[in-house]
Amino acid sequence: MISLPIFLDVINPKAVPVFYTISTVREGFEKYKKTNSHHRCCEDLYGYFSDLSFTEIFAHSHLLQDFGHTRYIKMRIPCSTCGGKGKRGGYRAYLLADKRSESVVILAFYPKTGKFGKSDLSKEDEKHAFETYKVEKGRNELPVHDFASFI
Amino acid sequence: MCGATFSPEIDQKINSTLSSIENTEKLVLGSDEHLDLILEIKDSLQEMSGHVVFILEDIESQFASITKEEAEHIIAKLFPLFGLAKKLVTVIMSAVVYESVKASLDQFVIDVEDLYEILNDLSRYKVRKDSDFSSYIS
Repeated sequence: MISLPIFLDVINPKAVPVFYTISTVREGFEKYKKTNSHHRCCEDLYGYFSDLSFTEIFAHSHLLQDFGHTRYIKMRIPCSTCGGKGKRGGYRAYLLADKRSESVVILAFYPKTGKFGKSDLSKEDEKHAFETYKVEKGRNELPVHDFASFI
Repeated sequence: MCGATFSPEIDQKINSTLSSIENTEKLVLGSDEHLDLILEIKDSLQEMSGHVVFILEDIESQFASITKEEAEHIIAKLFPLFGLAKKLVTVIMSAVVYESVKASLDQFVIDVEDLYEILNDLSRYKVRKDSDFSSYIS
C-alpha cells in the first residue's frame, strides 16, 4: 500500500479555502467595479481563486512573512479588462492563509493601473490592513466572502 | 553568484537585458521612419520585455527561499536596469518612431514596473525586514 506524505495529515490538498475580507477590501471592490478598466475585478479574482486549492495558496512562493500556521502571501492576479497580458500589470492581492482553518483572509486588493492604481502597497496601508484585520476579527466582523454577491 | 537555490540563468539574463537596452537606445537614436527599423525596435522591446518577465517570474517562483544575501545580490545586480530603461523610454518617446512602437513600449514599461515592485519586496521583506506583523496574528 502506498503511504501518503505526512503533510497530507496536516493540510488536505483538495480543500477549497473559505475566504474572508476586511472592510477596506470590500470598499475597494465597490470603487473598482465603477471604473471601465476594472469593472470585472471580482470576476477576475473569483476566476483566479476558483482554480486554486487551499494547499496551493498556502504553498504560494511569493511568501512575505511566515508565522508557522499562518502565512502572509502576495499574489499577482490577471486583469481581463486592463489590456495587459496575463498577470502583467493586473491586480495585487495580499492574503493571510491559515492552515488550521484552511481559510484565507484578503487583507488588500488593488489594481496596478488606472484611476485607483497603485505601484505598491505602502507601509502605512499595510499596517492599517493588519490593524483593521485584528479589530474586525476580534469583533467577529470578518464575513465569509461570498464571491457571487460581489459579481 | 547567488546560492545554489537561485537560477544560474538569471545573471546571464540580467546582463543580456542590460546590453539589449543600451543597443536599443543606439538603434532609436540612429533611426528614421523606415519600416525595417521600426520592426527592429519593436522586436528589441518585445525581447527585452520577455527577459524582464523571465527574471521577474524566476524571482517570484523562488521568493520564499531567497536568502538575505541572495536578495542583496539580485538588487545590486538589477538596480542599473531601471536607470537604463528610464533613459531608453525617454529617448523613444521623443523619437519619430514613437507612435509606431507605442504598444510595445507601454508593455515594456509595465514589465519593468512589475520587476521594480518585486525588487522592492525583496528589499522590504528579505533585506530590511522592518515590518513584523506577528503581533497581529493569533
